[in-house]
Amino acid sequence: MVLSTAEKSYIYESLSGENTLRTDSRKYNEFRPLKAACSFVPNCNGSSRVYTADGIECITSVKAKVVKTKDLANLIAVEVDIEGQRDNSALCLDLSALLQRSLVNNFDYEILRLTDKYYFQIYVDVLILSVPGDFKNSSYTLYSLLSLISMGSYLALKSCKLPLLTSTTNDREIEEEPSFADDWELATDLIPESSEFQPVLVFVVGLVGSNVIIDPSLDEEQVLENGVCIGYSQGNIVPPIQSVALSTVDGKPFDRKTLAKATGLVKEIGQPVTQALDAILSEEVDEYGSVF
Amino acid sequence: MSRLELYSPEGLRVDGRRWNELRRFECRTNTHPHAADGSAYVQQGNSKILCLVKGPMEHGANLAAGTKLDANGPVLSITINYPPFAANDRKKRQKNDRRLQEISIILKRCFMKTIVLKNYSRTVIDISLTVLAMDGGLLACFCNAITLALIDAGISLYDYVSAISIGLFDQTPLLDMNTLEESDLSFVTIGVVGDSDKLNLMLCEDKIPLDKLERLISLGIEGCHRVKQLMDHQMRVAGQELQERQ
Amino acid sequence: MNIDRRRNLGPANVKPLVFAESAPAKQDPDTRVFLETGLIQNCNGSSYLENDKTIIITSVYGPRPNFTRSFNDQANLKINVELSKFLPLDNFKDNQKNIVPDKDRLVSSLESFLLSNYQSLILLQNYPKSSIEIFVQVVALNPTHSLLYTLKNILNSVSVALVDSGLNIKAIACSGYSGSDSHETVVNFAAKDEILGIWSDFQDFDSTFDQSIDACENDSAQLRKEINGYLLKKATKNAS
Repeated sequence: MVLSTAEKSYIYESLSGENTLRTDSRKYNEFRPLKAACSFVPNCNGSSRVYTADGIECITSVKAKVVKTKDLANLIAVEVDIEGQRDNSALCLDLSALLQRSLVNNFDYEILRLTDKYYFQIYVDVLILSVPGDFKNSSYTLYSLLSLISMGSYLALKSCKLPLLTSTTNDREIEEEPSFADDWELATDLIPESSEFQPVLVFVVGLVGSNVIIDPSLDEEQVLENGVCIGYSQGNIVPPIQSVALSTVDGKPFDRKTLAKATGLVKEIGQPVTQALDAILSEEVDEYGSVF
Repeated sequence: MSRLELYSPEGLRVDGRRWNELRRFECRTNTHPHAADGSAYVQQGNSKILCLVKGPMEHGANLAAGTKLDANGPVLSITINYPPFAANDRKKRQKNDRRLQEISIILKRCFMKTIVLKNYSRTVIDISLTVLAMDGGLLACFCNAITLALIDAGISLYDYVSAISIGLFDQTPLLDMNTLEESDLSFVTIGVVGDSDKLNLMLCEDKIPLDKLERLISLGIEGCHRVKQLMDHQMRVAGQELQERQ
Repeated sequence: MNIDRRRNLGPANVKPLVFAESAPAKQDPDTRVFLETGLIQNCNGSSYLENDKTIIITSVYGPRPNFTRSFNDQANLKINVELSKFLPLDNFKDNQKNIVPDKDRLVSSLESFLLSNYQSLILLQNYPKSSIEIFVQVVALNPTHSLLYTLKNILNSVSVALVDSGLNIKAIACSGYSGSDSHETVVNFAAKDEILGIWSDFQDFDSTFDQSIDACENDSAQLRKEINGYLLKKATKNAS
């Protein structure tokens, strides 16, 4: 929705005020309701679908392939595709780059290792099904999708299953191609339950006045003065910590206290969000999915 | 020839079906009530397709600049999203993949004959198809998904269009092919209008002996009628639910 | 007898192959900067920045009339980053993990970061119905410079070019960099404690994060002094 000047100023005043009054009466640290489901694409090792009430939907798939490599950083490839946008549009490239960087920087490569020479290559493909119709003539940007996308990739990676390795791994120096069990029932999780490792979650925090808000809605984005995306994994802030443009008008610099508030906010909500996502993962999905 | 026995002497296919059996057919409508005016999800075996319909509206978001609105009917724009993960092996496709463009033109022709044109002059109907998983029957799945999504969007159609692919193994026609069969056998995809014997869509990209074609099509028509029944059933269930809610 | 079929052990009298150490010892980057404005004639503002074999040229065009269909009540800012061919990008890695980055994605991330910075610095609402374009060319690159260090140079070069262009800006921005083996941070300051943009890959987030921002602030303050001095000198020379 394109807001008028009066509407903008009203929303700005209430957001930047003492109590951070938001248009949908959320608290500053509250997310909009999300729904999600996992493992519904039979062709993929892991998949997830995350969608919000305003019709934005993110489908993520993880595919794994055995490769022979020494270069660990190339083991994760990320591709973001947005409906109605060209593959090489700035938004697609940016979101892909940001997500890839955050995943690569915070990944436990041990879980991809098969032998010293063979690794699993992971392809993370993200598809945004529909974007709001007024996107082209409004002043918000879609960088806020980043938080949705990162939740999608979190769920897809966590639900990713790999065939059971049957060849030996103890003589790792040997150039032996790994072989796998035929039985898909024996499949193991990419991220074993015993592992401490969690894929990174990226949160988008909006800055307005000296207030910070999590998960800004499209209306709120239009009055925001600045935004930062902050990564979270295993109870800690991780890279990227990077400012992103959430609105194309009326930007302002922010001070360090606000930045500290933003990181504090992410630290505070990271744990509950992780728990909520893990609860979704534990829900069983039948193959002939009632996903849709 | 492939190593697989596509049709055993006992009359069983690779996935255990008989020659005239459909794969499991599931469909849902109104899956994305907030994102589009009409939406549908179709699953045939392991093929999964989503279809979103926006419209009828005055301007299309995805319409190329300079496209003129038609005084006699809607402008249909069909975009196909084939993400790299949909097929069994990951493969990136260009947005303007020729094969997908061709399919979109075929679908456009088919549905311009199915939509009641006079109701929608000077409008745009935006159809976007997304392949979530592909295991054969691409065009047929698309066609069924569009039919359901158009119905869900409340766009007036003359009748259902249901589509199915039929292949030929030696002398035997095989109904509703999967990827393995499609890669080795010649096949034809047909779309049938409602319960009639009229074909609205037909695509054959392989060589098929002319004398076998009739048998393929008559089997296909039977299959389409069955698919139509299943879609009709789902629509009635959805309608019932809608009524109960009011 | 146990035969070592797989050559686990190899012949008994082998010597491992050792190469001479080829990488030079790591040095602190040379922070001296050469700066010149107004070298390019056909644009509204330009700057030339050279820092230890890295050369960045920025040109600002605008405000120019913008003839799009819809009315825009403020200027449309476009930023275009060009990395010359054959630049040694190998060092543009993230955090020790050598990603040879996809160039398109790299350029696009830089562009959007610059956009988010300068959108809130330039008074765009003073230029309705117009567009402002900024072209950044990285002409040469010191192979030891990291992505974030180069980003700092780019930011400063754009800030100076904006001053030269005479466009209405809220302040003269100046960015600072702090880096160590484990992390790097770039912060662009509009003034003391006014952050325009931050890009950091801070791994172990704790109180040292604040210290690294402090370091950035110091770096930026130092540079600001130099830049201000240069701009003042240039302005007084022009006036006299």
